[in-house]
Amino acid sequence: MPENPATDPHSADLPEGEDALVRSSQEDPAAFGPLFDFYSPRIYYYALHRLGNAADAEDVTSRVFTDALQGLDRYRPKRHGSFGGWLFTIARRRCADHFRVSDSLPLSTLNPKDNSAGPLDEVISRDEQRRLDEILKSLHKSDLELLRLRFAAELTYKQIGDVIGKTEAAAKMSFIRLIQRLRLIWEGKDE
Amino acid sequence: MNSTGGQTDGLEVALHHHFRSYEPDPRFLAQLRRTLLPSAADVRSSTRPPWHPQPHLRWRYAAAAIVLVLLAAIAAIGPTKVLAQIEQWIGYVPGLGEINLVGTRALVHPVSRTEGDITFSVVEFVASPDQTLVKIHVTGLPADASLSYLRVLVQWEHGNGLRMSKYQANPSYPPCPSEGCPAVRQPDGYDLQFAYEPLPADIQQIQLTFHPWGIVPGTSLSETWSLEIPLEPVTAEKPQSFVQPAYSPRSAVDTHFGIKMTVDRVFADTSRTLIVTSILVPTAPNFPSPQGASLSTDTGHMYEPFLFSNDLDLNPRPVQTMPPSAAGEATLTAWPSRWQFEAVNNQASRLTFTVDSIALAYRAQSDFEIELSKDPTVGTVIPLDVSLNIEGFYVHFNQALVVMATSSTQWSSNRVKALEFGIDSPLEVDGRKLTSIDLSHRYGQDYVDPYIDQKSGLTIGRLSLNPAVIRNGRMTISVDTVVLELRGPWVLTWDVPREAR
Repeated sequence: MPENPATDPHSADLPEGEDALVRSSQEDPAAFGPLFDFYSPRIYYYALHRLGNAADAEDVTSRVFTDALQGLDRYRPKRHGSFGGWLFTIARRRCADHFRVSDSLPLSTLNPKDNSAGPLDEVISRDEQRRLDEILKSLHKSDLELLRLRFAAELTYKQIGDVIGKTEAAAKMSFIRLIQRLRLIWEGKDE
Repeated sequence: MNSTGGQTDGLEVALHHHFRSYEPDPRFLAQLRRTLLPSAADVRSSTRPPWHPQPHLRWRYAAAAIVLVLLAAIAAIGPTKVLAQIEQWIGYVPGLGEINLVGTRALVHPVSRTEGDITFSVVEFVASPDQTLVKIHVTGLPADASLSYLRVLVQWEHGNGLRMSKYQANPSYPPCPSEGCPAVRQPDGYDLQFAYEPLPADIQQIQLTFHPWGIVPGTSLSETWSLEIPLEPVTAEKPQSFVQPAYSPRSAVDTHFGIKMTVDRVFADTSRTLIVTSILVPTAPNFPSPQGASLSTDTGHMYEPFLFSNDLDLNPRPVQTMPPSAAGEATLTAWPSRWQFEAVNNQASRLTFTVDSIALAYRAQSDFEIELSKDPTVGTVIPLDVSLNIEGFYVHFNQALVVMATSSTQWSSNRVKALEFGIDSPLEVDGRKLTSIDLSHRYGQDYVDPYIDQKSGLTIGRLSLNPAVIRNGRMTISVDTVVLELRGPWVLTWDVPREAR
């Protein structure tokens, strides 16, 4: 299902000419810079929410880009799907390699970086944060993974589909259904 | 306003906040960029052997070499013995997956160390040529213990011909096993799992060292607790209790609709039966989805799977393309799946694995146009005569109906006008049943909940009637995916080898 860029907040941020950048990087790795700048925070956010601590997230981010640069020659869009999807497939594997005690730890145990002055903090109460933590803890792993790929990694539905092995339409359908279900719980209609 | 143009709701804000609050350290990203990019050319050139300029072809040489070795072995000692030997080389360790038994060493009996109320037990230690896996059970910890800080080192002594030197390894952590990451909290404590790089091949004794500081109250930073771990070679004839040799029931094959299902490997012990299957399909852009699986025995017992996995991310067996075995046959794509059942009755000598049906998603990639006014009223019926042929399955749309439906943007939902499509062709023909059709229109859309026929279970996508998507009185509809459920059943029967009972 083609995704309309106008209705997808994530695709609007994609670096222009991603395919061309990937092709250039395959010829000359120095051209990888814009792709690194775009995807590195996304990989970090994703890993952070898989692993639960900043040190492991940084480790995984390093490994993902090392792997990606080593394997860039072998990346083929027709076989591997979107570049973002391919990169996050590596990230998933690297996070799985890091598995130890639990799938993720509560982020409340982390010390937030200096971004607490953002507008979101003004409207999110601690009660709401706690409530969301409880809701997220109750979710199935595959649902959490969808949320991580969408919110932490900010992937498009096409890229999410490439990562989880579904069509773009199926990924979108799964995500929308999940959000509808979460909204009911959030609004207290389906406790 | 949210990024989709609708009203922001509390859930959206909370989720964004939750997933994007902890920014990466810019110094880390800058350092990583500096480290990686100038050296990227070196990294890549070091992975490209000078004798071959096309690395993507290397696997073909490796595969050809393996085939040559196998052919030589088959010629020398006969195919039956070669296959039997291959089966003996592979074992299964719960939590680790399939392992190569050759060169694998393991702990024979669990070992423990108790300090005060706390007991660390090493319940499994498997050193395979691929990696080293350790499973630890801990009891007596305080309820609020934070096990994420636990560090466990593997230490060993190794001679270099002149003198013995001490080595140690930090955990590299294991991949989640293919059946899912295990729950760590147990009724009497915690199960922990660590993985390390492979040990040297000749190491038969190691020391496991725990650093209890930060987990056990009252311990100092320098305190360590150690356990001696003796290792013994694992063989198919003498497997450790948790290493289960596999067998391959080559007779277990069934084919319907050109879709072949095989049971490739079976692992069984007193706690569970794990079956690795392949579904080989001529064309399938996505996972074939098996429905209604069961395992029955000649003793009259029947079991339903409690775990099924075909998540390739967790499955070490990749999807493979199988070339035709004879002229005129199709190239098949093999999709691996794993099934776990409870342990089957130990009197059973014959097992039957049954799958009632397999659902396949086909990319239709077909467009059609409908004509309608800029703002059609609810109840308007637009006659259609649109036919699709999905792998020989005939689908005919006979109408589109304007209805009110729930539209979901990413963060909010409301009622909108939408198109609902009718089908008048048979939904089931010759054992193939239409179960789902995904539709979209060319200019994007707010997602509308699909129509689900309660009687047949058929799901058809609905499309919102946003005026922006109607151009010159026409709307282009794309049929994206069509799901057909193919009814078997696929029935795969095999004899349990005497030594596996």
